[in-house]
Amino acid sequence: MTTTFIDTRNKSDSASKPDNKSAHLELDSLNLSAESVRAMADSAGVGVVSEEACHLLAHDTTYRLRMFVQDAVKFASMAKRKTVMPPDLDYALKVSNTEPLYGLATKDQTPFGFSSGGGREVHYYEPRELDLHQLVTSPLPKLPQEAVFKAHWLAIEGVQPAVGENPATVPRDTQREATLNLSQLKTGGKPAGNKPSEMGNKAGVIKSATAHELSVEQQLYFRDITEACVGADEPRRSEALQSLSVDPGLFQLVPRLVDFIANGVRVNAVQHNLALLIYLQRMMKALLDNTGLYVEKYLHELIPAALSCVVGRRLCLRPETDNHWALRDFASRLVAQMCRNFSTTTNSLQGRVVRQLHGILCDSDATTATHYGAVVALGELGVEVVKTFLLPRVLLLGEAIHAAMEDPAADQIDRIDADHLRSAVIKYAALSLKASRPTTDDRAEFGRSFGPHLGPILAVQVKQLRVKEAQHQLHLQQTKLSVSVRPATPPASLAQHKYLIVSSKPGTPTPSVGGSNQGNLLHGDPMTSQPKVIMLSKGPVDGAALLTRTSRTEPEY
Amino acid sequence: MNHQPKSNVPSNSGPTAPQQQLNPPMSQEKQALVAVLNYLRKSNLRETELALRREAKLNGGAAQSEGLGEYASSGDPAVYSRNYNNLKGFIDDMMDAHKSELSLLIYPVFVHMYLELIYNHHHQQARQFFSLYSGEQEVYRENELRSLASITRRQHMLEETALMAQFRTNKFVVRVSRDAYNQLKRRLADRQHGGLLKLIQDHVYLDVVDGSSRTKEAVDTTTGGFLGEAKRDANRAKVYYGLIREPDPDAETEDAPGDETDEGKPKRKRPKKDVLTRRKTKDDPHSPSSTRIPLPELRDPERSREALRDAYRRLRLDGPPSVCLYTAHHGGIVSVAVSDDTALLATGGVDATVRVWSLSPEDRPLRAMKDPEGLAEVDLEADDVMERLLDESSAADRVALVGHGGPVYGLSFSPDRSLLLTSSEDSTIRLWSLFTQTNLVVYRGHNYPVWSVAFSPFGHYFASAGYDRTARLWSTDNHQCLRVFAGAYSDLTCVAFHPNANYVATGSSDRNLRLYDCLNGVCVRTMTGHKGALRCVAVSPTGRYVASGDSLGALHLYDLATGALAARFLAAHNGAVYALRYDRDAQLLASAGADCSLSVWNLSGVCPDSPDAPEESGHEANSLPDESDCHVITYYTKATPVQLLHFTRRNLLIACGVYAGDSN
Repeated sequence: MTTTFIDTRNKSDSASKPDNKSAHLELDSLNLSAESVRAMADSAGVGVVSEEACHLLAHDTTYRLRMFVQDAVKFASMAKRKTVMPPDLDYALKVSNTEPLYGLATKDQTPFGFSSGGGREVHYYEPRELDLHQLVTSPLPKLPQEAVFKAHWLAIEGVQPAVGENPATVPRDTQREATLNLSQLKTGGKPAGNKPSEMGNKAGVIKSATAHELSVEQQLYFRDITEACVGADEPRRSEALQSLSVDPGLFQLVPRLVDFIANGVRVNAVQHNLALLIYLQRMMKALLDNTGLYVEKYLHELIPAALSCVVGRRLCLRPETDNHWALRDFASRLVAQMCRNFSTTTNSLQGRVVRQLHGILCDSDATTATHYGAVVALGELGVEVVKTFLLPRVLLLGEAIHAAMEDPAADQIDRIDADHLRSAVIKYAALSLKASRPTTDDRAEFGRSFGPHLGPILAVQVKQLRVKEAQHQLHLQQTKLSVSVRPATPPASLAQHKYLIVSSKPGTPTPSVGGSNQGNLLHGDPMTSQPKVIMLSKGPVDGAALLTRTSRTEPEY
Repeated sequence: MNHQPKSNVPSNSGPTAPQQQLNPPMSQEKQALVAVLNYLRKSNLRETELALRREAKLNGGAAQSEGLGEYASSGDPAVYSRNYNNLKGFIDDMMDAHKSELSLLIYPVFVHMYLELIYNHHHQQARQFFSLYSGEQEVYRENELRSLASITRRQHMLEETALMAQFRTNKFVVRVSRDAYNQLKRRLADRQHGGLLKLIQDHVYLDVVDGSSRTKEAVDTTTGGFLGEAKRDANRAKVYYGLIREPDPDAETEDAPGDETDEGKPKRKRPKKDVLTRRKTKDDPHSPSSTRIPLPELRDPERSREALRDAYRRLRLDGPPSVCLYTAHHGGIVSVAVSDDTALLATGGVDATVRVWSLSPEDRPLRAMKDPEGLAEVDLEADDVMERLLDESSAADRVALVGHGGPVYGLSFSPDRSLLLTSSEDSTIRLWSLFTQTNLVVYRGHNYPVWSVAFSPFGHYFASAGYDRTARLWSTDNHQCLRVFAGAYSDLTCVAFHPNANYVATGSSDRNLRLYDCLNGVCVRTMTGHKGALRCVAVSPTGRYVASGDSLGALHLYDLATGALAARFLAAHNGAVYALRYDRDAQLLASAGADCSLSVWNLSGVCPDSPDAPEESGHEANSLPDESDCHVITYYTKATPVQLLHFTRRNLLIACGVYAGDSN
């Protein structure tokens, strides 16, 4: 196209001087320079192109490119898109009666490389050589997904229902105000923050003591959700937790859900009901994960509930077999998550939690399991906290662990506990040491600082960590996540841990709660095990009623 | 077919007399001849060209044959800048009353000065001129200026681009009051601005109006088009905007107190029939006669009865409507359509596939017709013969129709939803039967992508609009188009039928809304005022008003009786308006756009929809209703730009869009 243009070009035009490239038009954003034309000619193997021809070509190509881009924009806008995609360029070429460039479709936004240097910026297209064999043998790309239609109510008689498909109608700020003034909440899901004037007027009025009423739907939802969360049906629980973690319209239920969790933990910690505690922690996690909810005002309930599960003296019925460690790990992560998200200088949340945990760590009367919880929780709060509060205690902890391990009077449980505590201490202390200490790790120095029992192990551990980090650095291009070094705060999840609730009724088939049992937590003989008591009320307990309830594992409240 | 509005409407000799002094009438024959010569040149038909040139005694130079002769000038390039500044200067000196009108001259003068500089190879000066003064033009001209800036050599001017086509063959229209006109004439004659006077004469059409100058606001409501305002003559023709007289529907379904008598008219019923608010349209002088355009009969009494039943149960909307949003995920959907009875939904994809979905798959799944053997066994006398023709085993909730070769931009169901029209990038329109679920006809005629297609409310006819700057009227039984509606300066992006099927409204990227008469193909209304490319257009169910939305998010409502602006909502959306729809009672207008919002507007105060409403000569700008008075509510979707709005017969609003938050 452009070459023919040179021939038809009128010679008289050559009288006009080549334009000065620096003088740009105001709306000029795309301008091809004569140098670019020369570079292209070089790459195409055309040796001699006169200066004049370069200028002519540059001008004409610029013009054509602009027309072409404008057409492409037209195609993008008719496809109701704001970005121009490679096919749009093809269609634009087609309408200008030019063969489209086939095979340039790319998933990337721009397939162009960019380099700069010496004051020049160059965009280039680098054709890669494909191995034909590899291309042929490579698996076929996935079929594009079929279109799916989903219908929902965007609005019902002027009100947008608070469902996940609709944008959050009640912003967090409004929820904050609403938590301070519950009586103003409208129960119909109507945005409460739409009338700032009303809010302003009521600021000076004494709040009425009217109860915050829930609609029937909300009451039903609350009942179903709580039943599903602590019930025996694992798929249903997953659905319930999913709903809790994404549904933006829950804010009116938050106080009740928090109350449910806090009371549940209180009662079940006493009852040593590990499964229920885990379910409640998962519920809490779902609430914390819901970005549409404002839970800051309920931390006074949530933090104790989580901490109880971290440092509880005894959280399960059979410490020798039950995996209460997983619960402690999970709850620790929740505590860390809350501290990270909500700690401010005014509430000094983290400081208070750390002080609490440190106190427990220093308490020699506490059980090993409690110490374990405190260590893990401190560890989850980050290397700095570990450095300040855990490292000074490592020496003493090491001696205690050693004593427990070597104690001939100690039973199996004590050994297991001590073993867990030791691995937790080593894990978090090593992580902190790696981050805070210089690279040279002296074994003797470690031994002096952390005692003869843990010092050498720590030294080895830190060294291993460093080696792995070095390897990780090598493979950084391949993956961002380290393969071997555990991230400081792995995503909290209890889904991997499967639990069994064993019915106390002889002869009843064992209801599997966690799906396939991975042997993480197997109760002993079902016949001898004690009945699981799931009870959330504070009233007197009727044993017979409890027994009947247990088999169904339904909550009573 | 391609009528110039001016040639059809005899111009009033009074006010245009001075016009002829300033602008010597450009001979249309000569223009046509030049166009033909250009075409011959382009098609390389040299001998024919020479022969024609000889016969027409046109032996002008190359410039003449290019149709650009008026640009040739031997003037000093520096004079342009001076002239431009002089023009600005004495527009500034004028009385405030005239300023707003005459300042419209600046843009065309700027454009043509730039082109003249380019044409005469003053590239350097052109560049300077552009960078000096392009910033002074109105903001909404940015796109045109961008195109203009890319023209940097004379041969670019010879290209058939949208921009050059409009500037070469058309004059920029500026409507001025007689006072302002006289002032300008005196100024131009006073000083020695030969170049300026000639430029204005050549390229600007000054439409002189008796009376006082318009205010700035009034000017603003009509300016914005690629070529300025519509000529006054353009909107003179009579438009029969009323609905076609309704024959009495079947007596057994007609419970409403209606005093119409059955006159033995052909049994034609419109599904859109407004039963609750039926008016006597008999005496309406604005209704076209039912034979003005031959209309088909609707032969499906069952469906009409259903429509009537729904109409009785229709919710009378005076508050915000309930909205059901259909969100599409994946699939690369670019267009959506819903059938009038809300039973079917069609999507057009970038992969050229058309998919038809049943919106109630349990009750009414999509079924194909039986094979010939099966059809032979069907009892043709049975009452439910249409049901029996269908093959139950083929029931599905969606059907894919494959045939197009490019993205499908336009979709339209026939009123009885037995047919589906699709238009595509491959420049064809296809007609699909939803009985056989196959392609029936391929309509070729547009040589470029077809952006939009619309069935007539009575079926049989349909209109299409596309990249080639034409809209076309077709009938389903003819593979060639019946009318070509020309006159737009840029793409036609949307097309809609008037409810009486006598007119077609088109929206264009040149920011004009045009109404064409299907009878003779003439453009009877040109409505200007949009500042961005039009994206959607909807004619009110009562036929009197037309609403349009543009790419900048503004909504305009025009009165078809006069072509005057009835209302405008400038900040309706923050981005292109994709969909517009009147509710069945013509009380509300719903609009949706790229900003993932859906707004509802109450028009009962703005557009009195009784046919007796006086036909004012034009709404004054200060009497335009306030945007906030009409705004009812705005809903936001999460991340779904709504592409389609549809009121069911019971006035539930259906919205449809593609979720934009998907990773792919």
